Amino acid sequence: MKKTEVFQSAETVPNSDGRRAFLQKGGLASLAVGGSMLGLLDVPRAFADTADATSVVPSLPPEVQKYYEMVTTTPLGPSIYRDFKPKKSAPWLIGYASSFGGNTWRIGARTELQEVLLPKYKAAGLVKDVITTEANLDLSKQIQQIRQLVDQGCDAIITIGAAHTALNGAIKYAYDHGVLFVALQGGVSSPYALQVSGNYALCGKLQAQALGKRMGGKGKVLIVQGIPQAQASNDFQKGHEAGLKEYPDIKIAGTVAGNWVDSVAKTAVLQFLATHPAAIGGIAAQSPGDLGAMSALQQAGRPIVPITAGGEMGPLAYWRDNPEWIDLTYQGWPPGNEMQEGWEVMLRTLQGQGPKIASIMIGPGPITHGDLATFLPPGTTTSSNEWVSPPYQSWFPTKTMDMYFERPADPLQGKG
Amino acid sequence: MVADAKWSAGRLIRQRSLRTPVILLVILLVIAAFHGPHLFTSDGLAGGLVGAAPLMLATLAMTPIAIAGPAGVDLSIGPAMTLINIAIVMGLPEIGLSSPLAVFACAIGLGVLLQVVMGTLIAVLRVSTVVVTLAVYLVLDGMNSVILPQSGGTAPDWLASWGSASTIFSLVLYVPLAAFVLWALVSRTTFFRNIRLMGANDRTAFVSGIPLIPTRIGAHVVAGVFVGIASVMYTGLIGSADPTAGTPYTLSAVTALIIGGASLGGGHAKGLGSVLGAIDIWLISYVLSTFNFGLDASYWVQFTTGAVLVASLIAGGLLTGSSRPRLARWRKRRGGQAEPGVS
Repeated sequence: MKKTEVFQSAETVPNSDGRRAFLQKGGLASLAVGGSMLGLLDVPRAFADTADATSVVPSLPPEVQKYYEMVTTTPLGPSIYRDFKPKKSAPWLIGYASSFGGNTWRIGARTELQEVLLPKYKAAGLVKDVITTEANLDLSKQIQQIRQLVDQGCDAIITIGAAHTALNGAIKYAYDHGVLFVALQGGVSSPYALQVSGNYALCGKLQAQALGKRMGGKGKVLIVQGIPQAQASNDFQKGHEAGLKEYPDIKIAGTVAGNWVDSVAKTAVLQFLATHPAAIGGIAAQSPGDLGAMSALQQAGRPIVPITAGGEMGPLAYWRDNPEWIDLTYQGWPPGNEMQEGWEVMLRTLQGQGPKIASIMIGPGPITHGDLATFLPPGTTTSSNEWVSPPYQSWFPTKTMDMYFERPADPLQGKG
Repeated sequence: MVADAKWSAGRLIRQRSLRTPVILLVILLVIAAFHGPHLFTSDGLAGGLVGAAPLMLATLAMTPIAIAGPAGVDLSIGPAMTLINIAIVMGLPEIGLSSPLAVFACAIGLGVLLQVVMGTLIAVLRVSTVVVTLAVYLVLDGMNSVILPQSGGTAPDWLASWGSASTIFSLVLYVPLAAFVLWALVSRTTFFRNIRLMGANDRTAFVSGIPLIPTRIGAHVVAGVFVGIASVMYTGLIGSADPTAGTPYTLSAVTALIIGGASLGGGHAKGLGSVLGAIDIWLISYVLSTFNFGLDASYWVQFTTGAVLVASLIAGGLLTGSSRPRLARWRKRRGGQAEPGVS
């Protein structure tokens, strides 16, 4: 009970987060003078440094303005690539500077890139090849690889889930050398990146609202985060907290880190359940992690309470078999679709279509029980960790994409 | 004439412990020349320098501790660099400091402080270096994420521009050069010879009148200076503060140290070998990135790095002759002839 109170006060006044804030302030202060005392440091300031006075969101069509709700950590000014002209004409050489490839999501995204998008755009004479580099979560290596892709003559570079600030020097280097830099899943503070991202905070909020409604507006919720240092994870978390806050009788029982890996999420939830015998009313989980949370409930012999199912097939298959489990859920980041949207934004920009805004946002996709028959292949089991892939035109319709560009055109028809 | 030059290739090759890193360097440079020739442009060299400098200096920082032995591996270096990075980017601006002097003073000061604490524990309490530095690794790694839960901030302008540098003729070159000169000076002092003797045989050192505790702590002070400089170079590379990005430097620097010919038994390690080892590690990653492994990139990069390391260590054992007596004994046992000249 006491834990929950601390948690909720932290939510409303981030800088007064009790012991943690004290440790942050104390730690930084003592660092600054090599161990002596200093007060009044304000760490979270650094994360809000991109709140944007030059925002061009109000000039966008109203249909897409709603996708910018709760967006605070990404530049919203005019895109620096509005009048971009690539160094040479098509076919272009593309660099994919991957930070790691170790979970089901990344594999889904890369498969889409290599097996669907590359052959299609190669056949259209627009892309010569994709060079993939892999940094295994080593940022210094990723910086080196980005510079290397620039030096190797790439016309555009795409990354996924890039660090908030650490790649900025490399991104500037790419820009200085006339190379388009696309940051998929956004979250980068550099104005020299063209960002394409789902609105994960909004997705989390809608997921949590649906969860709260299904729980009848009361009970205890366990939150399963992604990787706590990652921007997208914080955004989802912020959304989950905001959505649950709308139900005063719902309390947050605790937060665990699932690291976007189901086995990690399962272990974390099992540990939590072992030390918290009281009933849990629902779980707000980030995907991948919802499947892990569900198997933890099964293994612990607890009832399968409503969980925010974010796109992994297992929990959705459980919903297919138990229609009363949840009413509605939202998908934040289907891997194939996200790769496709990033790819399309990149090609359109190379063609000189002129992106209007530095960060192109996409709203979450609702999934109803009626969708499951088409989303889930026959025979999908409740243990499947694959991702559902909504039809691209329902996820990010061409006419919506057109709204983000000054001179929109079908990228497959256009030429360099 | 060439053979007489102090730093000629022949002389490098004759130095047994430097054979492996030099040969590996030549092989990697040849592959790079054919497969990634843009390394030899101004942009490529600048990228190489800014990318490899933190590892070079981190490996150099590990060297005196390796010399002081036994099993002198400083595992704390990655999180220590992260901590100093956070101090430079998030801490110093809070007290209105961002000049190069303040940044270097803060970095070197913190580096030395951390090392003195560890050195004292190791020397006075006689706890093993690996145990102390592993404990500090864990403490700092956790502490960094508490102090700074997520990456952010911006390094001072003069430092943040290093990451997008297109020319090597800047501080990106001068700082490591100054550090190498410093190393060359320190490693020629009597004090440093004492560290070597202590590392090779601490009893002999003791009966020769070398004060072991101050000498061991002194080795850590030298290490601390280079940890500080490495942290500044690393901050220039990422241009911001990050709670976890420095951690991989521990493994890379240990690997570079070993490739560079350091003996983990103590007493023997060369600064030049460590720097060459670090360049080799960077080049392995560079050369691998010039191959387009596509979908399987992550597995191939891991696998190839590991394979190159094992191969170079085996080659190193054969080249430096450290495996020859054992090989000869093995052949003798099998009824063959011992290699001529091996006793």
